[in-house]
Amino acid sequence: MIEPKSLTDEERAVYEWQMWVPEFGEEGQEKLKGASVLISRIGGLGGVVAYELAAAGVGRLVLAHAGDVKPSDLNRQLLMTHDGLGKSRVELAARRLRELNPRLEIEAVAENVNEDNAATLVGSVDLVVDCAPLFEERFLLNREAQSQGKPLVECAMYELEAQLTTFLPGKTSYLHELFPEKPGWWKREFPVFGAVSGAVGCMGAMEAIKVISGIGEPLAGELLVFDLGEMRFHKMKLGVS
Amino acid sequence: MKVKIRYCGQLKQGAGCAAEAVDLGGELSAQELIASVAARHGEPLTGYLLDESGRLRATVLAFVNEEQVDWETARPLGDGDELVFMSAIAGG
Repeated sequence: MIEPKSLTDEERAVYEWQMWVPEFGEEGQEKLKGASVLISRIGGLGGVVAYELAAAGVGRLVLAHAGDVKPSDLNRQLLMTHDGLGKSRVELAARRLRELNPRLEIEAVAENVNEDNAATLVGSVDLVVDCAPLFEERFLLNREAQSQGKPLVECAMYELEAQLTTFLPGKTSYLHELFPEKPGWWKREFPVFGAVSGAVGCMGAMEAIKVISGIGEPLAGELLVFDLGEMRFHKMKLGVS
Repeated sequence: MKVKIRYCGQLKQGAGCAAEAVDLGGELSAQELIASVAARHGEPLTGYLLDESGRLRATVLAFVNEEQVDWETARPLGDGDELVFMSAIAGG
């Protein structure tokens, strides 16, 4: 249960344009301020999710990502910079987010989600956004979120395509139930444009905002599949009757 | 009776195309069409779509007209239906 937090005059000024959105208003903004979100990996997908959630004023962001910035990150990982090459990804991301919105609490965890930290990380937030590259990590995060009754936004991409859905406790299946096995052909590194990860990252952030604030209809029980090569968007109905 | 088949993600490489139109030549269920598509394309698509027992792999979802296909329940196909195969993908 998210405890809304009252806004300062400065925050009212900063978030004015989104508080004009019907059915969101100051009440919605207070919910965002009171909310906490774990973003598993802040690369091409998660970096954009984090950037949008920071801009929107989600009160506490927990970023989990190990390793340092590499040249091959820079085509899509928009929180990383050229002068950050060789430096901690998560520290760089936290710095960029604080520059964008110093009113937030940003927790940088220089580890990927693993068996040792999953329960604590998931337990420390209201909502999880899964942007990890490995299915082992995704399944672990999903199992933990389901077991702790936390909603989870699932973002994925490949070449010019992307997938997005939202898992809600007690209402939908989670990833490990939708796909009980990891695909044997999946590789850690794969072709993709930053504009594809950015597009699905923005949509994933919007899913998180909707779940937290209660506006709109999250993609619960539906899988958005889109191909930017043909600008083709499909909302697939999940579940078999 | 014709249906359209779309392949998403890495299944596209397996099929060698993003989409194709197929003349069913008679009444077929989605499950029968999936088996027929796998047999016609051969490897690697067969291995991507079907497991050793000839069932749809747990890593692939199939949809007819945007509704998920339940492998256990025969799903009759009609003229103009669209069958979409989608594999799990991740991030990075």
